[in-house]
Amino acid sequence: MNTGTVSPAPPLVSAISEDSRGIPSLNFRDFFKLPIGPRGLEPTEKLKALAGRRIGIVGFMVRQSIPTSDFFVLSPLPVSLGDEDETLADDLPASVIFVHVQPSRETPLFHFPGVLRVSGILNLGAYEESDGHVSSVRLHLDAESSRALAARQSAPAIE
Amino acid sequence: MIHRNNRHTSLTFLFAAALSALASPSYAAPVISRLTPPSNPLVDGAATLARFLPSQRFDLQATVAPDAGANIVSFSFAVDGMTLNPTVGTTAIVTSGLNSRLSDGSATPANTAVVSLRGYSNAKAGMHSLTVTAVQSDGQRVTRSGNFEVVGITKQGKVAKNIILLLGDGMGAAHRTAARIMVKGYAQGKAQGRLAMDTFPYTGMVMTSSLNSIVTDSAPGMANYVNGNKANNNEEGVFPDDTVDTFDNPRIEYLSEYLHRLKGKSLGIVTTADVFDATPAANAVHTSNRGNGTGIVDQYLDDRSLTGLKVLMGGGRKWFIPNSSDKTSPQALNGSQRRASTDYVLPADIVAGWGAAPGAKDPGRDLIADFTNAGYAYVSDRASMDAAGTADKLLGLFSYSNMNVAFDKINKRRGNSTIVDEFGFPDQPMLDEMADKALKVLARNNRNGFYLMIEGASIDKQAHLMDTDRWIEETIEFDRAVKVAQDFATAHPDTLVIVAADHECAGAAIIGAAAAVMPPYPSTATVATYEAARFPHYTIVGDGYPQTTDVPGRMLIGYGANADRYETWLSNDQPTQDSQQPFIGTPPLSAHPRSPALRNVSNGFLITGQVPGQQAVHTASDVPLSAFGRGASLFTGVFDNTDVFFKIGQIVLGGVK
Repeated sequence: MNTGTVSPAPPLVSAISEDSRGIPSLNFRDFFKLPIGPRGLEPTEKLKALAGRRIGIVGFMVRQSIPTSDFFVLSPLPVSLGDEDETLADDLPASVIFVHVQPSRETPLFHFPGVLRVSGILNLGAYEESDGHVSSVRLHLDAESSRALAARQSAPAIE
Repeated sequence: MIHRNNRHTSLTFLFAAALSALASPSYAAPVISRLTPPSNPLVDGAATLARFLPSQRFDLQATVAPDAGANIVSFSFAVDGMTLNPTVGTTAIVTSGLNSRLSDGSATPANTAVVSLRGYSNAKAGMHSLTVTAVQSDGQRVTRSGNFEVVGITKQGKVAKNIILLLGDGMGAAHRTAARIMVKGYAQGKAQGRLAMDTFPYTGMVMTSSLNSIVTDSAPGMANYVNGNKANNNEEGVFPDDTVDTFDNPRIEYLSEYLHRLKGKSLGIVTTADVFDATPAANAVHTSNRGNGTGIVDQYLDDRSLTGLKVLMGGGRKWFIPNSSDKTSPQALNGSQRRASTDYVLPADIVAGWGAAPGAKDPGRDLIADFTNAGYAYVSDRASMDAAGTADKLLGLFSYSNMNVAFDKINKRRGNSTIVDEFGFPDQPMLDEMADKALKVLARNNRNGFYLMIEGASIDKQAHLMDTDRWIEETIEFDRAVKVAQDFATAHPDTLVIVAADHECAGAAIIGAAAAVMPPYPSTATVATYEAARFPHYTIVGDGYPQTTDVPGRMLIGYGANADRYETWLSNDQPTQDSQQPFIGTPPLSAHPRSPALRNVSNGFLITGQVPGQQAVHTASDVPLSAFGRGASLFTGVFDNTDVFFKIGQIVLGGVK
């Protein structure tokens, strides 16, 4: 139960920092104004400024009970999506990014445990995904991440 | 085959007909492939399938396939031999939008008609015969008969004015036992305390199967309790039909609608799940697809005059935010999950037969604004819920999707964790706090009484994930809500309180305890069985939850309905140290969120599952049901979940000795 010492949530970062490859890095806490207000989500200025640009993001691949082949979901926490008894009454945080793979695959994506870092073009706005979710934030994987994904998908880690 | 009315060749015709009868006995005639409500065989001693309380509304429907080249022009229903004369506008013949296959799997013939009579009811107790007659364009008629029963009410005693149904989703006997062991403790063979639900004086066992399987899901699991009839998996408040539309199925009036119509009672729905989810929805909304969230949440508001909805609380705010992506530029970025494809528009016969709102495909609707304009106070977290006082009507949406589990909410309050902060909702109420608020609102101006459903939703969700400590703490939270309801009933003796489950989840079993001397790696050697298990002891702190679940000799749970999993026997699995991670360079730790929920491959041992997929599944085991307050004595023995509806009906309308 004890997860170690906990500092209060850090203030939103206003400056855009870059990672070791010179790509702006985006943190899930920078997506929407936190805590979430009484209505819908409110995107931060940082998120809006990065729309259409290549960014890098670190997170956990959501474990999908019904895997999809054209995208996976990256989350700030390890999360599982349920089976048919759950439908869209899920445990997804509001701040998740739907990672669209290029090119589209024919077979569903394998799940990788652990922390992943991916990069690609950030895309904002409401969009209906193939599994019924309406995503607000998407990443279109760039060539580097797509190659790494393809290599791993053909030799999946044994779980 | 063409029939000729030609007297000159009548002998030839008869001869030809006799020949063809010998060769291939197929006479052209329309065929009725389905009659709703569904019936059991019309033989002596067969238990009636469809049952209703006196004057409970339901739809009559049949699927009729005409001969090739013909169509169905008219139909009628008869009950006990008397042809019904329905109100104009409450009937329909539908020939488009049908499923491509009929209920027997055969291809749907051209011009097949689904004929409906909406909003029928019968006040006379006893068995009734039901016959549909369909007329084809060439004058041929076809009939099919079935039956239904109206369960009578007798005046026996004082009635219950209020009904509180607490639904522990997936909560079987093992789930209750594990919660008791954890939060009350055992010594010398005796429980050192009782769960609130243990103190209820009457307990029975419930058979939970659905209309189409021994293993149900949460949609019929709830609906069967509150409308007295079986439903297919994934369907709520409806019988199956042969049309594609998911909101036009034959309806069965819910307990909430029936009591509001007959008695002016109000409805309250409280859940820790997204409010569109099956358990809350199957108290108020009729659909054959439990996933159609936009239409489900819209109908909570639009049909409040049918249900008497006064309180709706839970998660699922994503359905109540406008999605105007079709209309505005730039596109909205507010997290809305609304879509036209999951929204509702009702056919005219349902609107006329039930007085239901017709609906519209309006993903751009601001549903929170519509609720507040209709007089509901809106609250978005615990602070605003407490500040709302005793509103007349209340809408509470505390998270984007499901609310966070008790384990994480409590750790936030203790300052141990920021999981709820990562989700963006740091101040979520506990289920017992929500129950308390709901009762205060419903009890205000409560001349006619209310029906309140309170769901502990994530007992099931965490049991699916085989996350032992989370589902046990969900059950503890649920029992704290049970106590709130019990206290209310003690203060208001004309109240019935029922604690039930829709089904059992995961085949949970208390197999023993962690061995006194732990092996170096998790394995079956970790499990101390029989007398070596002794009595796991947890320290409970002031908030009512364990200080920690990682205690020596902790209770261990096995899962009979499990999928493959890696078991560490730890409550808080360590973040993975797996060097096999793909993509990763040297991630700065400060960018990482914490990960108490991560299942770690590298330090758990593989337990092979019996079911496909990645999660545990529901089981067909009977589940316990406990009752307290007025009429509780009816809930003993082994009974069907549909029987509960008629017991409640008797208690509310006729009382119990």
